[in-house]
Amino acid sequence: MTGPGIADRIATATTAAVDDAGLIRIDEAAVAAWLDALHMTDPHARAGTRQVLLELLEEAVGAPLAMRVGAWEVSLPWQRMPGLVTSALLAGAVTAAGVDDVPLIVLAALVPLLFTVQSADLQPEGDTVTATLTSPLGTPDQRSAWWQRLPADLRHELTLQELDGLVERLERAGALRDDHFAHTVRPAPSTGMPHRPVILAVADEWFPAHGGVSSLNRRLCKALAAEHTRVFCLVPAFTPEEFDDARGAGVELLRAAHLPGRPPRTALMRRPPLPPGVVPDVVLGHSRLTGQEAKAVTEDHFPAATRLHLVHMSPDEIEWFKVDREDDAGERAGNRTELELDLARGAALIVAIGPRLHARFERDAHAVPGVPPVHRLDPGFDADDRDREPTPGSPLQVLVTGRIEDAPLKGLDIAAQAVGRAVKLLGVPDLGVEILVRGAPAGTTAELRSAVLAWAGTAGVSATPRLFTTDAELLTADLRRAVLLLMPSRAEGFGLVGLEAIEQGTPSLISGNSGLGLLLREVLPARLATQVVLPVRDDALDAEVWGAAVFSVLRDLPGAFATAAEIRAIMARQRTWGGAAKQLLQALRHGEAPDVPV
Amino acid sequence: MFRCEAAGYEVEATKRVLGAFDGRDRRDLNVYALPDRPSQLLVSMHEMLHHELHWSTGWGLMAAMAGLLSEADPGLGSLRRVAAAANAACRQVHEVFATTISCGVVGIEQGRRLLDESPVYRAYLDEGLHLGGSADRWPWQFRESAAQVLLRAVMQPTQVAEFAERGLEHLRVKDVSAPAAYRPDTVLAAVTAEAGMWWDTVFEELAVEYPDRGGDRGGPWGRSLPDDPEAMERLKAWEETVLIPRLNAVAVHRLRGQGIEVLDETGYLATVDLLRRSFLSLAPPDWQVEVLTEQRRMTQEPLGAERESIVLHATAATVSIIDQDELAERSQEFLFDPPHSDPHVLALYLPRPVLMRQFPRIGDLGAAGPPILALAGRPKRTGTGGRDVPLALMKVGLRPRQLVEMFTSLPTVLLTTLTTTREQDNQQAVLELDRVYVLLDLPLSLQVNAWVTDGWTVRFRVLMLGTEHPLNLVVFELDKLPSCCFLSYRGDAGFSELTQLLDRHPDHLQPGLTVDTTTQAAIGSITSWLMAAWWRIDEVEHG
Repeated sequence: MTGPGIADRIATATTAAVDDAGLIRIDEAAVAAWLDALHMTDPHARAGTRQVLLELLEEAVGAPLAMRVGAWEVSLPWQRMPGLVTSALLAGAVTAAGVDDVPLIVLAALVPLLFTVQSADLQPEGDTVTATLTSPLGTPDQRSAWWQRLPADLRHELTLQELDGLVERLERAGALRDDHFAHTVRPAPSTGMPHRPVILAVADEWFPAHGGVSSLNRRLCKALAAEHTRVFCLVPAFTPEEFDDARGAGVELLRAAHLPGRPPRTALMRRPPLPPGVVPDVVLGHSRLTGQEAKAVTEDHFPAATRLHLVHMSPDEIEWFKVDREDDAGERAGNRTELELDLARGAALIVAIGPRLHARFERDAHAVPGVPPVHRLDPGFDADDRDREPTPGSPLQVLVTGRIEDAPLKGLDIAAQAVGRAVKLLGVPDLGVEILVRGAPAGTTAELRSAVLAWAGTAGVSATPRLFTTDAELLTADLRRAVLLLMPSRAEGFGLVGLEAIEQGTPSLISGNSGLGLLLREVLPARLATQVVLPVRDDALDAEVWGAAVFSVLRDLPGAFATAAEIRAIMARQRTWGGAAKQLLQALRHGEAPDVPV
Repeated sequence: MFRCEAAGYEVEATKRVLGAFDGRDRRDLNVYALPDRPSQLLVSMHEMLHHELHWSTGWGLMAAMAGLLSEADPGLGSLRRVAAAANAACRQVHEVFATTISCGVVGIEQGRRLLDESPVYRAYLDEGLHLGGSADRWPWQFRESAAQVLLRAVMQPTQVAEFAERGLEHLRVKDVSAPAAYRPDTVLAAVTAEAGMWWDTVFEELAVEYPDRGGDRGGPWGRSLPDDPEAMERLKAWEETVLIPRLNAVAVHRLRGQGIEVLDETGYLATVDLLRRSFLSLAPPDWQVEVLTEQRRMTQEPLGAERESIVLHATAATVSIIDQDELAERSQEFLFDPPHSDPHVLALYLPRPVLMRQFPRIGDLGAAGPPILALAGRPKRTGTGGRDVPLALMKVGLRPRQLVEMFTSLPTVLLTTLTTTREQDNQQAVLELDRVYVLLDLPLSLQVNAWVTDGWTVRFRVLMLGTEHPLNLVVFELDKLPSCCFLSYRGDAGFSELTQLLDRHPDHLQPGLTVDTTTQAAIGSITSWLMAAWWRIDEVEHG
């Protein structure tokens, strides 16, 4: 026993007045006060004990409380409270010790008969409940005698054989020695099963129609689901194909309830339609795309959940290259950087995608009070292991992605100039190279095509703009059709399209101004890194450097594909989605974000 | 018990329970927490739908019957836990059903507005809307029906048939609690994400085969029902014989695809019969149970209005018993002085259980004794915010007429209840009076049927009470019993039962009762007193 027993602590923590009839009103605040008084620190043990207690209160008042959220209130003789709380604690502890086939409400009725409730205590350092048995139960005869003394309704619920099983499990768990019981109330006693962390990702789509953030979300969700977590992804809408895709990887898609007349994103802030009793341990939002919604969902609906803020871009770098905007780029970049940091406040962890964003946000977070630590998440390269060979047919296709308004940011001009220069260097006029630009908004293709052709500046290059698509198969086909992917971004937080190309075994040239470029330089041997990662200095030299590299690929396609296969093999070994998920969960468990129950 | 709460549209800062279904056969409408008629109607419908879902599905019947039996027989105490666990296992299904369908009744937009500050219930509504498929393509009639069909289906796992076969007394908590995969909430959780996509094909087929949809002309967010009663009957028949069975077939097929077997119509009827037999074999001999399984006309649909208690206050008032000799000093507290009428006193002639239920602190009056005759004082606020009701109890044996005659200078308004008059002696005592006001505390529909069966003509008038509690008061008088004025207090949903009664008894139940000013004044005093002094109005006796 350490300090006052449970009964004393409950009595001290009970502040509600006892009315003339000897009743006190019990509500959620009273229950919270009792659990505080017991120093229940483990959130799942706390939640489980609360649930058992509510079930006991329901039984005591003879009318189950329907709602486990919001307001409820019951009046009971105050003397019963310590006994009820102790029963809840003991029932939770017995379940946690492995007795998972006796319903909690039955266990809670049994424990006052099984244990001397007055002897029960909770060791504050470990949420360990201790108690003394009312009678020895070590032999079949002792158990039979005890069982015979049970009220008929409890004998109906627990057969003698089941009692044998209960005692055996407690003994096997080491919880029962002689006449003494001791067991931690972890894991969650509400289910009797080890707690499987629940993760809720808030995203604006499942299939990546709008780029890398969605693609990363999808891959990360799948990876987390493979790591013994229960993953839900809340999106404004999904198709049956998306549902099947997610379910196939163990991710449960949730459709946010649309509000007529409001933008779909608004719906993401409403309470997600999670299954009953499921409360997320972790809520995950992406930059300013869904970061606000994740923050709102956490604060308004799941205040006990841990929030992760994933950053995918650095506004201070990329906004300068968005030339179509009417407002001031510097002001916009400042506002958006501030917004990212604002969204990060209150989160348990900033998760930066790749080394470039990690370095930048580690610097920024360091200077701002209230911003959490930054965890670096390197995406995996192991999503596809199909072999690739040079694509048959002609003309050769070089893939770039981006919109006309993002052309400077994505280095579309550099790509087109490089291809033009390479075609000239090859000196084969009828070789014919087609630049496929994927991601053009409808109505902009002609303008985009003209611009690309002008940048290429040679008759041997054709340009084919393609619209945005939600079809993952089309995007994959683009990557598998192209003989080369160019990602000459002037600034790129990470560059998932480059990663996808590497995964597909497609030869790729990646900007050194991208997170992906830095990562490749970190992981690959120098001989490979220098072939695939090229500098972008934003000057006339870029076209020459990139042109020479494109020339090298086009001149020796089998060699380029062999190099791509080697790069893919190294990266797939060194950076896996499973590893990324494990490290993230590890960061939540230890160190970077303390007190997270995963 | 399914307690339904407000997180926003209550008038006080604290959250309150707005209504409740006890998981057995009674429900509460907490009018004290409801600010207006639309909110009251929504909550009333919501609780009625809980009740209806329980009594029209295998799982619900099992839970309700277990709860009722555990109350009646201490030897069946184990069923108390079974009932609680069974109710806990279908909580989400119930709330999604009751919230979605009640919002459908008042109109989805209106319902959403009423739930504006209640995120929990908005989430239930959203889930219900999602279950019914796309609003962009299909009318509310289809979507509401699909959601209903699915939610009813998950309340019908085939395991209930096995439990019914075994008998209710053999049920164990283990049968209905986690981790049993057939629990309604577990099944719903398993199919929620995709259920909205189940209906497109059958909706398309129905829209082609039945372009008039049985007569509903509503859009994506509401029904539009025919005015003509016959057209309404046709619509009801089409939905019951075409729409619902077709949707049910889809639901059963899809659930089966997920490994979830639910009862079909035949299985359901057989299970109901088994449950009913088991229930009656265990229940007290005078208990009856009626589970309606056949198709009925609109006017025959049971609304169960008598099962809804109107809860006027969260807590009961205290009583101050005034001695006879104290009465003279405190006479002002017993004087009712309504505007536009002469002052009068209010006398009560009430059964002891009624007084004990309304005023639990009054102590044990003994349930078996004759009715209590008392003068009622005007309720007062106490220092702690409660209500205190002065009562001057008359000596046992004094008849109501003698009390009335004691007041020579003041008229006496006497209030009694229908339960009081079931005893011949009490009835005789009441009929000795020139005028008596009788509160209907037994089921209104049964009473009206009884009057009509006896060949009496019943006239009535509806008075809307727009004061603290927005309620309706229906005043009845009988041509052959002019001294008695019967009073029935109802919420708007309960009030609609009157419409059914009118349809059933057009010749004997007639509106247009003339209420003279004296009666109006008396009713005003009675109503004011009841609303302040009582805490609930029931039409079903409590054991």
